[in-house]
Amino acid sequence: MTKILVAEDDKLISGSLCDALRAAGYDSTPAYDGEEAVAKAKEIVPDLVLLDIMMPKLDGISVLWELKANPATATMPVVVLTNIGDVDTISKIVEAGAVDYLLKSDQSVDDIIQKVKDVLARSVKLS
Amino acid sequence: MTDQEDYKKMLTDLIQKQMVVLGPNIALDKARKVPGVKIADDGTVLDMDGNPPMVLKGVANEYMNLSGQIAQMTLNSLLEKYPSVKGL
Amino acid sequence: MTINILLVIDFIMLSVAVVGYIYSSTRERKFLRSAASQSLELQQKVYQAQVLKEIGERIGYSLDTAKIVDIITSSLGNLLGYDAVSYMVIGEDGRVVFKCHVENTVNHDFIDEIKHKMLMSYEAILDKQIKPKSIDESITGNILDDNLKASVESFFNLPVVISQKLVGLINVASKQKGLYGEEQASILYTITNQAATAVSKLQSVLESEKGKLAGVIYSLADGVITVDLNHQLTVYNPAVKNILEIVSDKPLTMFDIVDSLAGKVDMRTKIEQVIAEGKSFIVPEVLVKDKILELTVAPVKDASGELIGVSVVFHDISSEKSLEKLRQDFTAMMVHELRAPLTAVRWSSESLLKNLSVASGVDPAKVKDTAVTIETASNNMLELVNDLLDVAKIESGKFELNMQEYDLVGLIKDQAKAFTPQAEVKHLAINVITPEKYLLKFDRVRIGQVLSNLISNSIKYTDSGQLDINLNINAEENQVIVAIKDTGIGVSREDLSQLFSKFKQLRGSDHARKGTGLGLVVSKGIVEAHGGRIWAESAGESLGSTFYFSLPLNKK
Repeated sequence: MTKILVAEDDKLISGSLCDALRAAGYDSTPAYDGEEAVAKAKEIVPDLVLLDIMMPKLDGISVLWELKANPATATMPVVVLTNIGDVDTISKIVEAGAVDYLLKSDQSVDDIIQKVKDVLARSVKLS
Repeated sequence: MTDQEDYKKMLTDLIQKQMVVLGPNIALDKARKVPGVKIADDGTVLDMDGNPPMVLKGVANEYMNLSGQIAQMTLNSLLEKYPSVKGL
Repeated sequence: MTINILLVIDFIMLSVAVVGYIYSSTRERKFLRSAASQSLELQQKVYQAQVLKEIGERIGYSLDTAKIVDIITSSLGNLLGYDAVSYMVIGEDGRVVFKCHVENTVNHDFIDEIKHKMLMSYEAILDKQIKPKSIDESITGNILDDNLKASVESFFNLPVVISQKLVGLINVASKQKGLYGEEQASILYTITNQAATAVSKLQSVLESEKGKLAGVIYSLADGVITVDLNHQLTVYNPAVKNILEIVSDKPLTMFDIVDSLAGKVDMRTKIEQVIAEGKSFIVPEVLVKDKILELTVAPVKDASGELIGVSVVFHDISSEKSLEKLRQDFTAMMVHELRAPLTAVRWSSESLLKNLSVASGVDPAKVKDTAVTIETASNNMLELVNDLLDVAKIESGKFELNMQEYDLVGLIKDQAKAFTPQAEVKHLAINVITPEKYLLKFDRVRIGQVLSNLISNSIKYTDSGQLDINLNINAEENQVIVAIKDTGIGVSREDLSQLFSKFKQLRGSDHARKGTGLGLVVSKGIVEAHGGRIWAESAGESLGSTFYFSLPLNKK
């Protein structure tokens, strides 16, 4: 089964995301802060990471740098979750190596599942 | 005697000054209202047979009634000039 | 300083009236002179009584020195014959002003004699030498004939003392000998003195009233300044120095004020504006020395309504502002916190709906409505939260745009396509009338938001007909205008002005057509952040409406 790591500190959002992914047939694992996200990424080697920008202990951008710096985790596609207000961080996200980004408050569950499918399809082609 | 002369001089000064300040005719007319003194047309005090301090006071009063503040100012500067003149 | 100026003005007015008056009653004078001298003394006494009575009455109403002088001279002129009447004022800077009115022709030497005698009088009074640097002189009335023999044979001087200061000197002169002795001139002195005393008393009342007013202004917490029509500072209070943080031992000048404002407000222009329009206005927020000030600039008029100056009040609203900011930040923070749980509710309810179709043993029909309600309600709340946050950002000026070059036409077409299903449900057509492509720098997401808002509104409020979306490039005015026209319920004139306002309340609002009501407010904020304008036009109710927004063309 395709593994997805959901790095999101809000337990409610994380819960609903993981439920939705599971219902769509993916294996989803939550991580509730930046450090846990990096650790889990190394541990389970997911096929895709959904990464929240605002997290305690280590923020999203730093997690991204860490993942890219480690050859074991560098190639996994990362989709960043953000809100409309953080548009100025988009350039930082791109620089840091995220594959795409999602505006949390604007997407329905179906939109998110679709994005996950698209990114997975793209990365399969690449590798 | 010098006192008398002082008074005459002072009075002359006063009158002549008022002639310049206020005008010759009015200054002379007012001074001449006071009894006991003879004044020339140019303001010189010719004779003072009354009591000099009283005469001086009389003329000063006439001028004060006419132009109050101005007369006072003139009088004050004159008093400085003639220190022996007292009791005004 | 003000007192001196007032006194000089008083004096000049007094003299002008004396001069002006004396010269106006020639005929009466000639007649009276022929009267017997015994009756003269009686006449004088009568005149004196009359004049003093009149002065007493008139002064009761107003401190109009010109009027007082008028009264004096209007009766005294009857008693005197003269050839020239003059006045002289010597300012503190040594400038001498000399004005002479010639009633009967004399020659230049005559005038010079008068001048000389007046200067000598001044010297005698002030007990000092007067060496005028210049004499500002003017001579009016009859012509001077230097062939005529004339010299000053009689004269008298009227010193005018107001509030214990020698304000000026009036001179009456004649070629005739023997005039202006006690009989004629005494009365003039008496009346002038009485009038001067009255004026002096009034001055002191005026000063005391001014003092009271000054006391009030002094104690105000707000800074107050007034300037005269030449922009010179005439009044200021300690609060001004505190608020503007001016440290100075010397009296303040307008320069100090302008300097402390450091260019944040153009005081000169604002004052000119009040002088020109005669109306007051407020300068809402000026940031000076870490304080936020509200300035009120107002005209200062005298009793007759003449503009004599401008006042400026500096009101410190920093604490009010920071409180407001605190409230705004708090609201924004709270609203922000709502987003996460609402997003979770939304996603959960969406998943629930999906799972309902596969769950076994559950009758989907029964729970579907409930699930749909949850989904719709949470969507609405989320929409409201997003709008509120946008409005908060716009209001606090923290609204950031991500400007990139993009095809505006492409965006319009995308949005139109996205709304086509909704429109088809109501049997509405959406027509896009634009050029093939148009590249412009703008924030794609935000302008998309604006288009989405306007299109969805049009669809919402139109029951039949169509939507037309136009794009027009207006090169002269350097803008591109997008118009969304519908054949819907239209907007009444009163509501038009309220459309883009946060606090609008549509009369008899159509509750069937939902919306947060903030969409237009946010659209306005977005468009204006781009430097554009947004507005609506409507012929009236049920006559459709057109919503326009403009974006500036990029200047390279």
